[in-house]
Amino acid sequence: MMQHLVALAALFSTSIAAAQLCPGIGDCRKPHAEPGCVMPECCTIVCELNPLCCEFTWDQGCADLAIDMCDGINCPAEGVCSETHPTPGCDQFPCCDFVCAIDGWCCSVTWDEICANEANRVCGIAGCAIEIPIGAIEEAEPCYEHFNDGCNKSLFATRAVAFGQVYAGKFATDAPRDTDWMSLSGSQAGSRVRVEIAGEFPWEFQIVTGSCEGPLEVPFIAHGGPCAPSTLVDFIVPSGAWYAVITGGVETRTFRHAFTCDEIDPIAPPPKEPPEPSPYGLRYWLRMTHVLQADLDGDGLVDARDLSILLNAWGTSDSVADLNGNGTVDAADLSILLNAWSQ
Amino acid sequence: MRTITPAVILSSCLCVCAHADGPLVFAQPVYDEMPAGIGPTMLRARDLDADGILDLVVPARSVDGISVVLRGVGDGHFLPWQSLTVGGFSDWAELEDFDGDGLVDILFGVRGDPSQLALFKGDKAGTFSDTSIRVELGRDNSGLASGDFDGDGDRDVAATNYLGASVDILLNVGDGHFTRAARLDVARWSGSIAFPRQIEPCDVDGDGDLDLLGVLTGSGRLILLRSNGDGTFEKSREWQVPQIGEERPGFATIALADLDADGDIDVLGTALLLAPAQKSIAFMNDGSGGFAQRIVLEGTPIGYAFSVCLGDFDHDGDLDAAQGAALPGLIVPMRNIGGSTSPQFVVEQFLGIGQLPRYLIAIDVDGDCDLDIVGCDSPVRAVFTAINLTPQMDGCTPRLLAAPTVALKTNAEKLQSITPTPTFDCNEDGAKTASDLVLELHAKERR
Repeated sequence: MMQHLVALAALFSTSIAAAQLCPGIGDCRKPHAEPGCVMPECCTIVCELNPLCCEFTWDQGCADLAIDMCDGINCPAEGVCSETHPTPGCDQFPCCDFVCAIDGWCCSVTWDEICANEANRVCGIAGCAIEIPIGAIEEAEPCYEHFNDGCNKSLFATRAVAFGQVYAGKFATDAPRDTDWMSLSGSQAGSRVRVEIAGEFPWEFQIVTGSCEGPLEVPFIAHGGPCAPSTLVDFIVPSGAWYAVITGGVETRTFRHAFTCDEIDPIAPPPKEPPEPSPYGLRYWLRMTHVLQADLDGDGLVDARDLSILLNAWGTSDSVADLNGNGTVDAADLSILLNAWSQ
Repeated sequence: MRTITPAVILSSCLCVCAHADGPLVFAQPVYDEMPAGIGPTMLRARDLDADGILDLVVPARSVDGISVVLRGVGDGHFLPWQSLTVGGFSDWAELEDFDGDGLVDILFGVRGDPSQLALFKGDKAGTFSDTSIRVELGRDNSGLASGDFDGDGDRDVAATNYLGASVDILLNVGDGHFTRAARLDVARWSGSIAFPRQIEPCDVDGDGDLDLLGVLTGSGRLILLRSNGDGTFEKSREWQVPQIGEERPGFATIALADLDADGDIDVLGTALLLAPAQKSIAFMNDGSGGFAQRIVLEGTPIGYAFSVCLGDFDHDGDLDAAQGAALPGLIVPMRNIGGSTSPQFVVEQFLGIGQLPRYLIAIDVDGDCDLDIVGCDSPVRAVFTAINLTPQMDGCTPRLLAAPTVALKTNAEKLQSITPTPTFDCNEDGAKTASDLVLELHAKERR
């Protein structure tokens, strides 16, 4: 019995040692003379099963094991990360690994336009940090817990926020994706609210209206980040129940899975081994303020400087200058500004 | 623990006396096996060869990328007619004149990477040829809806991107070529994955243009995309299926009709529960496209509700329904005993049909003026017909077929990988629920 245990222990330690040689070179799914293969995760899996694959040569048996065991593991793979190609995965491991953690489609089906756009956006960037303003009220939500996820919880919950105060929070993923819902007191339907937002990740700010039972709508979405400088977003307060929501995403998609938690909450530990650290941080802050309907620069007056801002934004969807919230800065917005002109 | 005894249930079928205003009575289904390796996913019926008998276009999941057209015989059977190489798995097809030549064409939604539309041009003989027109869609198309969305007189298309959580709006140039006008997000607020599956065109608010109603299988929500009449749509508006007992049901399929005779289109959906008895959900339109009123109605007492169709099966002036349930595969006709303004269903018969009745339609296949139930069962690889034997209130005479056959397949693929308890948190909402079981059933035979 003891002999068996010793043998097992020796085999186990050999497997671990062999796996530590990963990644090697050569396609994991094809035999090659060198030990190991280029996909770190797949190489590790195969070498833990058959240490010889990492000690001598990556033969047909190793390649067959890779085909069996490495379904969906395609980093790195053929194809330039910044360009679309029909095969899954791409040629730069860190980039491929991160994009696939956000979006499993890219490593299981095809490296499509969304994957390539994501690679162009995120690969090669340096992580960054924001400075949380002094006096900010922290969300204090550990990673993988969901204190204020609104309609994503069976018991509806939001974070109560007030005008003028800075609120800080974190965005951590895995499943379900983190969404921070906020209820703003003291706002009137039709009034204009300005949100200043900074985040260490590509953030998505939503206005959600209605009730969880329905109808639920997202009439307004804005994006920004990561990092400097803070972004101003204006929205018109809807009638009825509404919520401000911060989550992670860009125009074409929301993020999930990729934002590694930076703390371990003993009450809610990570549901599974988190992915490699992402280039993005987790923190954000925001502050909501009332603004006059056409006071675009927030100086308390509607004047030539506001007119200049509006004209500069003409034809765009800039929410600060889109006074009627129809998605385009146009003559209707100009009319609103001129009507509000301070004398 | 659920106990399922289909044999007992099947033996009780048809043990009722049919009489006017009595139970709905259908013959046990007759089957037509599909060509080898082809798993049918939905049906479109039309008399393609002008012989007075409805034929079927059947999108399918097959490794060879083949969908089929079946010729109606007139007795409930359908025979192989044409095989169309659409290039991948197809979950949906639309039958319309897309190229403006006056003849019906087929537009398949083809899943895959990327998914796409594939247009097959129809001729006067009712046969179809590949136009080579392919239109790229988003990730993993599941459902299509066709209609004139921009008011220019041709047939446009909306397509659900099941894994993309969006709906593509594709406007017809006029000759069957399409341009993507918009990609509309659904359930953007959600922390889980929405999985939009089915989408249907209808004017929900009576403004004369076609809006879109659909199913978010992952979120368990009905969605409305209200049309502006010019090919653009408002942002998604979503209603949750109501909680039933301790459960929030899974939501797979809808059928549209005016359920309460108030002149607007309502929605009847399946409510899949992990609890034994299944239900239906009626989303009642307030006339302006609001569906806040949701009514829980009966469904099959066993199995897992997955498909539904509506029809006045006894010609009494109100809408009855049929629900298809997986595990075991059953069809239950549901008689409306609440009348035309207040639907209320009662289940009086079980039809054993296989494993997973993925899609149902109510059509008259035998020309006797009443509505029969036709459906497809993908794991069993068959289409089936249950002939309506119900005495019709308006004198329509049922055609009694000689010895209807019950032909449950013995060589059918089993749904072994699917258990009544969801295995995975497919929609990533943090729990394994009825929605996950719907997603598992939907994904069956997906690559």
